[in-house]
Amino acid sequence: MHLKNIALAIYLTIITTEHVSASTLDTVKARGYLQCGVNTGLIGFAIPDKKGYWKGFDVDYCRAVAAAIFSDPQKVKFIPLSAKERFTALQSGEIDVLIRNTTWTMSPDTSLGIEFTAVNYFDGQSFMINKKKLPEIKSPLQLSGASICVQSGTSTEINLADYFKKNKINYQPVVFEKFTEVNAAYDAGRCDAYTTDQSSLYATRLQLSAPQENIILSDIISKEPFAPAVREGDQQWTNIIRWTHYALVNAEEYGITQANIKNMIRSDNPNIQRMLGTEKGSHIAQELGLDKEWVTRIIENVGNYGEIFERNIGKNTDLKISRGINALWTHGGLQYGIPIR
Amino acid sequence: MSIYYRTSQYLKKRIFFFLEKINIRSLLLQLGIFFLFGFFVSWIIHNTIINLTQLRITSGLGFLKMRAGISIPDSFIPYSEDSSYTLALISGLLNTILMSVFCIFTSSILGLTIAFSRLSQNWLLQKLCMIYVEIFRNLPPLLIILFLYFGILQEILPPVQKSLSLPFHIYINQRGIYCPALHFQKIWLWSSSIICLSGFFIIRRIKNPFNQYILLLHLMISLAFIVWLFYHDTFLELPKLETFNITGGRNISLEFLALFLSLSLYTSALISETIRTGIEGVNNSLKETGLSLGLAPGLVMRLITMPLALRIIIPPLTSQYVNLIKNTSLGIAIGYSELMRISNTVLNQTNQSLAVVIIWMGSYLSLSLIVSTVMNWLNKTTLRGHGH
Repeated sequence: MHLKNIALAIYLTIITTEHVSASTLDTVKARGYLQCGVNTGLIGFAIPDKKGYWKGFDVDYCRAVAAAIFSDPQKVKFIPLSAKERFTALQSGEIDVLIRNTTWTMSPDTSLGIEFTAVNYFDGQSFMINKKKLPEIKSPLQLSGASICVQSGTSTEINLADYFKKNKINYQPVVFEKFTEVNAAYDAGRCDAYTTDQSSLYATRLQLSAPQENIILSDIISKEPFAPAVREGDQQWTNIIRWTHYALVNAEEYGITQANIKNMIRSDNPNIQRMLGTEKGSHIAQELGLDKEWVTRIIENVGNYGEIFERNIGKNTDLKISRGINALWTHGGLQYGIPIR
Repeated sequence: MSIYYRTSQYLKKRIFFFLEKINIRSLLLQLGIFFLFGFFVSWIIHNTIINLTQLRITSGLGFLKMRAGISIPDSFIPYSEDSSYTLALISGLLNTILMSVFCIFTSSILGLTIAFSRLSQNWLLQKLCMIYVEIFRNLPPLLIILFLYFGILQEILPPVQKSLSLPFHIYINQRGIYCPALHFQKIWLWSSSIICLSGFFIIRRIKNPFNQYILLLHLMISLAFIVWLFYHDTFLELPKLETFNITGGRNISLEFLALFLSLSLYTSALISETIRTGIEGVNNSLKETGLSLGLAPGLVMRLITMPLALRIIIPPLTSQYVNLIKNTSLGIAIGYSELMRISNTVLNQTNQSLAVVIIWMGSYLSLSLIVSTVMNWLNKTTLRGHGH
């Protein structure tokens, strides 16, 4: 049971009398490191390796924020959170930012005192089946009467119910609280199909006893835009997280990479100069509460959006996820860097 | 001048003499504690409200009326995705109660059997039961549940397409047990239970055992007649194999089975020890008195040992039952839709942690209190029944 955080949050709501009004940036600077809420273990997004070093797409976002603030990407404390604990941990101040493949939906955004910043990964819910056992299944619409394994407590469970209701198909849900148990049950044959966000399905497949026997159906039944979230009411902090993402995307658009950043600093393209803080008299970064070289430091340490993507989940990783709708808008995708100007 | 008078005179001279009277002092003390406690509670409520507003968190019980949208496997009341969160929580609570009732029943019978076996003269039976008790009593229940579910049931039971077929159209596979379902009109259920109940009370009043059997026979015949009478309303639904699953009939899910079996095994080991302690706690000389009076050993057990043992057994048995109810919440680990799992999902969908946790704690508290009350009542009747 991961009740610790909920208990803590309830305790804080009940007992606390003082409210610290210092800005999150000041608190983080004074503390000396960033507290970043991540997944408890999702290959490609956030998972500690054998030495306990965290790796993944979300992890690199945490490091990017740390690089922007401290010029040291290692000044992050990763706090693994289950789906149930994540918002509570953010509300109670246990973490500064939540970067945990969390879907941006209206209800948490408007009713929980938290704010989503910008979509860093566009995902959607899909199904995985064993193609050896069920060779004829090509679409979830063929799953009438099937037992479907699902993790409780995320939007996944509701999407599943909605999709089958909409298409008037019966199904039998088999619901577990933890990923490990859903995996074990699916692997043992307790269910015919496994549903969750497509990116997680790719990660889950690697953990099955026979990954090559399982296929992920191409049909997407929901929209799952993942976005980092912060507490409401500290606009400066929200901006830092939001613009870290746009800096990463803009860097990819302008071709600024970890390898060529040293040369790019000397670029005479005004857009690049403005981003990397070499433009004369620019005070964009000061308004953010950071210094001029914040983007330079981010790119130096973690690379641009494309580099983060390819390093953690892209074609050359075990996950082999293609850019798809996460490609730049110039390549037919949805990632669009809001101008830094 | 009596001593009493002098003492009271002396007391009157003191300003706070009333504080020295014991009942007034205790009343004041209680009032003080009451106000302190009241102040503490209202401070907590006030503080929570202020904090929730400052954190911009919407709270309250409004979410209970909203459409839940989640599906609940194993719900035995009519529940669909369109039902409200209230119904979802009720469905979870009922599953917790169902599981508790089944487990209390089974583990009590199993525990009693094991306790008697351990007390028997049969060496092999005694040792086997000792091993059983020591194994199950010393393992954490969660481990038993996970091992039984993932390690045993899912491994040994065949997949759907190769379901084990038993007589009477009963099938067993990796996903549970499937058996025929009898569909009938509700009035049939009510009328037959009323007849059975009234028959039971009539039987209890008749002292002559022969007449009892005659009446029982009559009852059974009339029951069979009622079954025949309502036959056209009643039909049997048989389970049949389809592409993915066996459908139709009644389905007992693997999750239910695993939780039921493991909790029954675990609790029966604890209960058997409670019962054994109770029986062994009765003074031996009492049993010997009974035997020397010429009573058969069975009668000694029924008339002397058991009534006395019950007084020792019932209080610890109550806590075993309460523990059992709380342990059903472990069903969350294997996805049985009990209260804990449902409220977890509700908490997640609505993010109303404060409200959901309060509902959740309240439910377990009331269940445990109900069991305690019933058991206390039972304890009192046992005591009264034997002249105490």
